[in-house]
Amino acid sequence: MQDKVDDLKARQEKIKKGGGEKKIARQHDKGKYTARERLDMMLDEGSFQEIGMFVKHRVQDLGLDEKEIPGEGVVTGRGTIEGRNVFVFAQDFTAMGGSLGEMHAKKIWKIMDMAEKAGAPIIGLNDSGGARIQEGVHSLAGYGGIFFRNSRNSGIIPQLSAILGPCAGGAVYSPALTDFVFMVDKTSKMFITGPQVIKSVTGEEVSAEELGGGMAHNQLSGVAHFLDQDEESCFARIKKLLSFLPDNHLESPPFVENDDPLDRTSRELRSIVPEKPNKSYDIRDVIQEVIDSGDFLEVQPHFAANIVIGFGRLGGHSIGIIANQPKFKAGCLDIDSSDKAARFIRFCDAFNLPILTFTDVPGYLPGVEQEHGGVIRHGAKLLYAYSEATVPKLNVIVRKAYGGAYIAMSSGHLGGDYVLAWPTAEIAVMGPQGAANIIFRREIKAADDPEEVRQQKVDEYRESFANPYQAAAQGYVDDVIEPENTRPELIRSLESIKDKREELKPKKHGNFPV
Amino acid sequence: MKKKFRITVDGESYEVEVEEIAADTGDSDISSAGPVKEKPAPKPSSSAESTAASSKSKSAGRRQTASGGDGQVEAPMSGKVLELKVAEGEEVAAGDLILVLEAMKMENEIYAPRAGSIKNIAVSDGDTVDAGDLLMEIE
Repeated sequence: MQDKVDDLKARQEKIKKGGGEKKIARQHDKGKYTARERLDMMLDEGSFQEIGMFVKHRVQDLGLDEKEIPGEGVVTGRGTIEGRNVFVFAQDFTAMGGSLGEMHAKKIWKIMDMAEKAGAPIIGLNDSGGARIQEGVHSLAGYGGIFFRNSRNSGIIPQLSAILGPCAGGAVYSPALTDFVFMVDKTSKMFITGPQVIKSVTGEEVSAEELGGGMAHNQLSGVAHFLDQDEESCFARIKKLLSFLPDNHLESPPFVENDDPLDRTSRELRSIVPEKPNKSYDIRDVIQEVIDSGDFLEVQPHFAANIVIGFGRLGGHSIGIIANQPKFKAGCLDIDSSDKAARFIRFCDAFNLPILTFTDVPGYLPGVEQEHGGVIRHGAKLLYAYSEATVPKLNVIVRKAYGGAYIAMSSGHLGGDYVLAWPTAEIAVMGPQGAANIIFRREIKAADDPEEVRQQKVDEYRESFANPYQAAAQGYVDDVIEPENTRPELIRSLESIKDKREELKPKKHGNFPV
Repeated sequence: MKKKFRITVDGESYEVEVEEIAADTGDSDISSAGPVKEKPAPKPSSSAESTAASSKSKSAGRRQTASGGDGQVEAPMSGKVLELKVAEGEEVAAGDLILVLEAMKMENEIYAPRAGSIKNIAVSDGDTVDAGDLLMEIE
């Protein structure tokens, strides 16, 4: 018996060494951790339970039959994070570059299927050279099966992807199909075609970092949601994000008691938002002042900064927050900001997170580039996502809410449950200047002093329309509140509606304007 | 800059010399003489350029976050320069207010994407700019 146990231990030890000491040293030289080190860092101590350790490939040709790939280049299993069950896979770059072949993929499939059955989040740590070319179409089938599961599991369990090395070609689509993509500066690279291919096809010269590095995808493409300086901070952020999320679509997010009083008022709010409608400010100051302990996890802070999205809590309840950001591009809506917010709203709706919106929006960004870039169909996403969402929807109109952008930002017309407004709110079809110029065009033109008349008409319009009371008179604004009472008002609104039951008509699915 | 290419058409080999005149002269691009026949990645649609003579629609406009590593500060959106907050040669830290741009009836504050000294200020107070236009450089 003992010799059999010794044999088992020897086998385990060998597999745990991955590609061997030399490859591990090389991984460390690159400032990267190995797959097993990463899992140890991310999961609760000693909680990792490996599944499928002894899986081997079954390729008989191209020399692979003689090659052993310990663990098939991927470590799979489950463990806990802050005591909560999660399923994980970590590609092992030391074992044949973490390349994906048939059995490597099947290990991942299995974990994905188990996560779905168990109703627990799945976290993928990607670090792979790509398809294992020797395995040909088997590796393509492998990717296909992963994409299929990512898609089918979407909205059932939270799916997180960390990119901790290269992730190129077809491999990028698994992270893209998951809910959140984490990248590490200088370590992560994502692209469909790399710099060499681009150079040979289009002649463009670009470095891998510029093309698909952390900042490229966090700022320009919007593919990634979080950027960290090192792997430790990346894992800390994964844990932080999970703290806001439920395990699956049937559960509520964790309730977290804290000592921030429910009835805390804040005079600060009066001074954060400038009274003059043309002055900008940072909407995140408002968010932090209102939510529990100012604890805000911003998502995609670098991409489409004219809209802010992220997670926080109100009275202990986990919520998703969407807010126009006047500090950037005047807080207007455009292609990228609509896209960013719409996807976030759908995530919140899928996982039972109430949505809190702060509105201060001058309108949609004018421009040929926007129109031809499809701002109509991209902007439609925001309308669709808000309308479709059945979770509690709260909205605070802080200042401007003009035109189509007013409708889009969680208005009552799209099923918003509570629309509150500050006295500074301006809710109208368009701003006073534009409106006065159109309505009083003839009078202004005919006047002896057109400028004086124009200003007079602008002031008149502002007086009678640029306020919350026209909308409140119609019941489109439920209440006009003093800014300092925002937090208590929101908390009691949320308490009243948090168990809201609203269901969409049974159908296959809607036709979201993707 | 001249470059030599060998291209093969229907089995016959030709040696061609291609000269790149300027980066922005439009269609003729080194790559079109290269071994692969595909056209270069499509530029922003030509109809966008023809129907909007006044709007300088260009790919640079997409990189509107103005924090390119090369220190070029571009207008994030079309608008009017309300106030330049820095002068040529001035030293700034990343995050310093460098310009106020009026757009969408809002005063949009533009901050230095990186530290350095200001050079090549391309605009002055009252100028109208399009999205993607160069405002200044930080070296």
